[in-house]
Amino acid sequence: MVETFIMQAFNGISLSSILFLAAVGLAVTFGLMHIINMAHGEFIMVGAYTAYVVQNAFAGAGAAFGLYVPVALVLSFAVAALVGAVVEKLIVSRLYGRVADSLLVTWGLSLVLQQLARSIFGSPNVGVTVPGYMEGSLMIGDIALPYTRIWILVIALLCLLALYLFMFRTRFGRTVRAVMQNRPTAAALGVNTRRVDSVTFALGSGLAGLAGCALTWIGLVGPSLGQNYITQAFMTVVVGGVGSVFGSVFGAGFIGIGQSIFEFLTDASLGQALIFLAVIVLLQFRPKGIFSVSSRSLEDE
Amino acid sequence: MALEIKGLLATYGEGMVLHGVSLTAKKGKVTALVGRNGAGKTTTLKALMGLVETPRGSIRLDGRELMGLPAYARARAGIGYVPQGREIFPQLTVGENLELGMEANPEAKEVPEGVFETFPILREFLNRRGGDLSGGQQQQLAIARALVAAPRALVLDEPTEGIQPSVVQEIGRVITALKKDVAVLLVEQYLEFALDIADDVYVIEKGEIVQHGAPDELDQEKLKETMSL
Repeated sequence: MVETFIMQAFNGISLSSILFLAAVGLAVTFGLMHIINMAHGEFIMVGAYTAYVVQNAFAGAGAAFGLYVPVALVLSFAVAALVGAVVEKLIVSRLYGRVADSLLVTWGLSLVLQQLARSIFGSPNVGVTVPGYMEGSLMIGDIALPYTRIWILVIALLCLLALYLFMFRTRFGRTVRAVMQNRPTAAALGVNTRRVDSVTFALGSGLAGLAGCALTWIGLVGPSLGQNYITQAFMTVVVGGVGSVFGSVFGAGFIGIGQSIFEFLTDASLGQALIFLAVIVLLQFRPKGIFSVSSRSLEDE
Repeated sequence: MALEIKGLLATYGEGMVLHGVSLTAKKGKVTALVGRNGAGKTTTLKALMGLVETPRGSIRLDGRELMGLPAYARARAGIGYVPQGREIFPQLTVGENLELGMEANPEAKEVPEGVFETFPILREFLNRRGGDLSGGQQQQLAIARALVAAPRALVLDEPTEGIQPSVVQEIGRVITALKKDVAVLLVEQYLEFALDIADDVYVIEKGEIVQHGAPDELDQEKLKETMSL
């Protein structure tokens, strides 16, 4: 009984780590630009298909097959970031401050990207083969912790560390935080806010791509992969608070672990319903999320 | 060195707020723009920084036309801006606020020592969050944040607003000391303070300049009327 519980909790943490990667870009771009990006889930999908293409390219490599993992990680980030940069330039940059419009337009974009994936890769789901060194489980007594999930957790933690250093220890990160807190003043002090927006959006998209790559090791890849995670990613942002990296960590933990526990105690669909109910209750007490950054422009609305 | 504004129009949404404002701020002088609430003082500075729509007019800094440039490019051209209400980044530390000010000058690598000599309190509070400072301390930080980029023109929007008298005096001294290095343009509602430190005064009413001259040359009757209505 205790073993099952620990394994469930571990699954929850693992889900949380993916949710964190998926949601942090969403949290930061909403805090920065006030854009609701419904197509964010499709960046997950883009990352997942990138990983699929990379593992296909390595399929004949024999012993070197396992090397596809680092390549897939880098490329899924890069490709998703590139797609994000193009989307920002062509579409999102025209929607600044128009929350409702951005929601509809990016929803449309989400459908287009899904159809594009269907046209290129076909409707059926495809699978990615896990390399030998990621197979099996770490056994601690009777507790089995799958290596894939441990890897995903490690990748998410490394991303969190990198993101922290980026946001709080670099010049560019400082400008991102400044623009989030007060856009006109940052601009009047010499910050090229448009560039901050584009780069941040691309990085957030890239992290979603990484989440997609990680997902290929625990499930199948399909055109609607992003749809399965976008709701939870938004929930993560809402719970954690807009614009906060640590909020995303907390939100992801709340949703991921909570959902695993509820699903374990009841069943899959009731578990989902219960976690959403928990979010609603939480928002009654903290309407702006747990770690809401006081953002002038948000208060003004 | 001089900052020259000519025939500047500015709009907020549908409404016209400035109807052709012209003024010049020269190095070696404190130039003050005074007027009542809503006369267009803050809008003039926002228009100067590119933060409101400016359909017509000219803004020259040392002869270089800034009209049409985005706000950040105007800051990088050499305008140091101290906004109304100070607008310190509350979640950034004092040090980070100062470092952010250096965005306006790519050549600035670290906060110049002179800033801490002028405002010793900032060194002490370097790691405190901007939002935790008092109003007067925030005002000093806002001025320091504009100075770290070594601007050619310093533009201050109501630096005395909501600040205790001793700090107002201190800020007056600092501004007077700065004019030998930069052109200072000061927007102020606190008339005595402005007349006290300014060398050249423009009076604005309903988006137009109605008087211009040295503090003792101004028509005092008209000035009182403009300010009190």
